Amino acid sequence: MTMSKSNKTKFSPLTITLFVLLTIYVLFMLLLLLWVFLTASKAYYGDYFDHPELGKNIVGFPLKFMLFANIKEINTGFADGTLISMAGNTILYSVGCALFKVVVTCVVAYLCARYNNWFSRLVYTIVVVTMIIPIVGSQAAEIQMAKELLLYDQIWGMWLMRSNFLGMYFLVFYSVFKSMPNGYYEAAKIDGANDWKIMCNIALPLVKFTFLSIFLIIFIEYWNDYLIPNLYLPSYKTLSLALYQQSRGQELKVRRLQYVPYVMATVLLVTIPVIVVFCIFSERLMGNLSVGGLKG
Amino acid sequence: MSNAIMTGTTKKKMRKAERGSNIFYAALMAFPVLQFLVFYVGVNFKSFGYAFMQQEKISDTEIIWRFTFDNFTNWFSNSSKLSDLLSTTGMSLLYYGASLLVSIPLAMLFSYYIFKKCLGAKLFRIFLFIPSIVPAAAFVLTYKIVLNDVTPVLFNNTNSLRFDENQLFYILFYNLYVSFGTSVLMYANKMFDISPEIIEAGQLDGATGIKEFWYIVLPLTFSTLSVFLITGVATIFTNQYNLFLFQANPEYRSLGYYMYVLAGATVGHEQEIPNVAALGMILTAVAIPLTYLVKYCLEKFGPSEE
Repeated sequence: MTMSKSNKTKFSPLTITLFVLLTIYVLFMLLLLLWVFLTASKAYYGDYFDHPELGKNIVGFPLKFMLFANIKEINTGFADGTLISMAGNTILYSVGCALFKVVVTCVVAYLCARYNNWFSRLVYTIVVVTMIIPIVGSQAAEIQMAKELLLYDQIWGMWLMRSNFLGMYFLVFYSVFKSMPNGYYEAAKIDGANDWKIMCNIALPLVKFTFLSIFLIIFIEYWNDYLIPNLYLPSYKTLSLALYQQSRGQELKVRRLQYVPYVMATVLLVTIPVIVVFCIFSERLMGNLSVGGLKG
Repeated sequence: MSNAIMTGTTKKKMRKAERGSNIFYAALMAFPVLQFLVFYVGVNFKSFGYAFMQQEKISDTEIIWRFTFDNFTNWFSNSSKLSDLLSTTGMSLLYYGASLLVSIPLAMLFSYYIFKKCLGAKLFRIFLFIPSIVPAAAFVLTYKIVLNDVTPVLFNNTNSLRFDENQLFYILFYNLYVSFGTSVLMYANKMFDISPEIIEAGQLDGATGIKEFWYIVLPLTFSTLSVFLITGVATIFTNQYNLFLFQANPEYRSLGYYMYVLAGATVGHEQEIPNVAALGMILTAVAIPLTYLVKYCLEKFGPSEE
């Protein structure tokens, strides 16, 4: 991320055009966020739907701040669980899957980078080939396999199914481990450290920031996931899926919760945790990753 | 004599250490490899097997599976299936084309803007990444409600801007809007690795603005771009473009979403799996050579970092 001053050039027609495009991009997002907050703070009856003066108050300020009242109603308004229990499911699903995935990917990448044998080369090739070769349509068979192995509709089953080493993050870890000087390992070996100690005390601490970055990215992916829980975890409703069902008026005890202010209140609830994580770790999330070419 | 003993002891120690290393390596590799064998190799073999099987009911209580090619031929002989296949393929190509022609070039240009540290670069970098972290369920629903409810209020009660009236355009726009996060991050990080001396030398030769981007920055970031281009081919067959959330008209379904819907329909209906598995095989048979063709072309005709 270091840059010389020479990279700073004056504005050109290209950069001015890009500045305008990016400003529109940001404004659109800010207006959307503002609208979500204002709408989530409105009552449906007497404000959003039938405002005493405007008729429908869709873009104005709320007559009365109702955000917390709306959230309170939503919490107990679902037919199969409270928001708190769904948040628990979401945390179990997203943290568990992300942790298993990152630990397995990191360890396998370490082994492949550190131990230069035919099996390591085979694993590396498998990762690259599976990234390049798109196998389509095996989801139905995967569901069937999950059922046969009693993993279907089990949170821990999802953890097992997601704990693979395939994908781009393997290459990220691999390149970090490969770039570490061999001297570290040799010195530790001379001091009598065994393989386990070398991995735990030397190698892994050196990739802790990469580990954290990848964990956060994958955690956010799973936090936001609604497609897999919808198919594989019918008994564990997650927040994203609940939000979708709420907007469709499905699985609700209180029918009015499908109305816009309530949906926007849930939108805020689902979004705020990842925004907080992002605010705390934004530099970690955005600064540690780069990928080279694909060989194979 | 003492040297010989030393050598013998050292050799013994080395062999012991090597054995220890091998055990360590095997112990740590065992679970990931087993997981891969079950959930990648096993699942794909199972899917492969299903593609050639068909369930047959012999009696009320007895079912057998028999070998057949019908699962493949049905996709081409059954007019309704063929029509679904053609329309979803067409839509997937359209979505992919939009990504290839609009999203990727824009992502490269935005990355260049960030690399040049122009006005607001840090802020734009953050905002471009935000759609990657906001739950799609939240973003899509908000976007759709804003289009349906807010546009008539802002534009004189006209309904022509509502989502329901322009579904395809809005789906394309949304997927373009949220597509920059990871790609801009990766491209920009790669650009920051470019040696300042190269940029300075280019500037001395008069390469600024678009020339600098085209002749210096683009070739030096091409290895990262090629990763996205090669792996992007798979998205033609797998990307669902958030269509589950949009609940758009069936004619806008992509192949990925269509496969998801078909896979969902197999839960509790095992007899439906062979059709989905066969379609998966057909698509894989197209996807693999296509991906390798793109890879070959990029390697043959793409710019070299040297």
